[in-house]
Amino acid sequence: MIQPLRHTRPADLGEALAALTEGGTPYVGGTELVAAMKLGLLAPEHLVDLKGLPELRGIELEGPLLHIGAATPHAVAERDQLVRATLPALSTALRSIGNPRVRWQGTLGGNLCFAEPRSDLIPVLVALDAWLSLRSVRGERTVRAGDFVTDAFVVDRRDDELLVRISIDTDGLRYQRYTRVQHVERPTIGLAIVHRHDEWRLCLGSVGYVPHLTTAGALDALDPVAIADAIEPIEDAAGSAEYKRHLVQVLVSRALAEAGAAA
Amino acid sequence: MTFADARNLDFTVNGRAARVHVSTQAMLADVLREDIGLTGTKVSCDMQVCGACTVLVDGHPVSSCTFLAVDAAGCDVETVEGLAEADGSLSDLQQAFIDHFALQCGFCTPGFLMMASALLAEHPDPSEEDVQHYLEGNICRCSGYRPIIEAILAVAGQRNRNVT
Repeated sequence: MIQPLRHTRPADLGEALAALTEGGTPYVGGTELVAAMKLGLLAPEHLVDLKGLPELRGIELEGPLLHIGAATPHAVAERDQLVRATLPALSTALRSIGNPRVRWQGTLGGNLCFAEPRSDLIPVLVALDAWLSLRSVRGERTVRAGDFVTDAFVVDRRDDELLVRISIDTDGLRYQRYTRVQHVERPTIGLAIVHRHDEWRLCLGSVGYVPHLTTAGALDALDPVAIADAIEPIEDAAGSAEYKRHLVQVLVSRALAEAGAAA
Repeated sequence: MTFADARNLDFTVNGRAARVHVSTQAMLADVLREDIGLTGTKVSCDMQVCGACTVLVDGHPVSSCTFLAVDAAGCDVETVEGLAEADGSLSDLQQAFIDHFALQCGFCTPGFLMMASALLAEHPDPSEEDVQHYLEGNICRCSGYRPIIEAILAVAGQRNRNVT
């Protein structure tokens, strides 16, 4: 049984932001939060249920910018025609998350803000150089996805701020791919590789506490051995640090070969 | 027990309107089993991993063990009890599980049936890969999965033959 709590549904975004200034905890799908509450790791006193707020949902293209409402469930975004057409790597990552129940309940914003290191979503958003919009009663600011996650389960979000939108520039995207290795419930390694204009961006997720981004002007400037050496793997039931470094090297080599063949 | 916040929950369960007084701490699985008496929904891992507690909320599969009951307000909830006809005759999916020996102890079966219902609603003609992907989050320790996949593919094939 979880701790006693208040559960409220704000009528609009303004009410939601006001509730956060009074110590409320943003809540949508609960796939991470309720699980953590059941384990006794978190005990929020007041859940501010954001599911009913249309401002936080929906996917739209504004010029080359694709905006995704933070409270959009993974399964909805994965099936979205705009996402599939412009960001197939994101669609692949969303299709990989947890299981179909988690994908229908859980949301992109929740996955980002919880920042469980073994996230399928985060490395793709970092490789795509997504921008995150955070709103509070004080105003709005944007953070690059690559700067958002600062440690395991720690993100650059103040308690009164709400992640409202994820924005991705779809212009100049020449190649994008998400692939992963999974042994147990969550990925062991997730690899996202993106070629936009003249930059290659390769991001490894799940293997370390924070996503690991490497960028280069040319594909052959990305070195699998150097990338594997730079990684600090989490040692867990899915493998030792040595094993995971080996896996990174293999996975990166394959991803580069595939990208080279596609070019 | 202290209820910080309790309220009436109005929702629909297997097509029937239901009202129960629930605490905000209550999980949907417990409300279905203990307040409404529908014990077909099973709780096993209790951490949304194994799929035994799968029910449909507005047509989508959720883990009722980690789903706050208050979130079901105004929703249509479907459980395994809703699959059979009013006269008790089994649905084609349930019958196929029997015909293909897709269960042994049966504890995971309600979850598999609900997940398969959601799968077939979205993909009336699924590939074997679609079935495997959809069932990735459901664990069965008896069947070895093969008979479950075959039962679901057989139902899809049968339904499609009936349509054409």
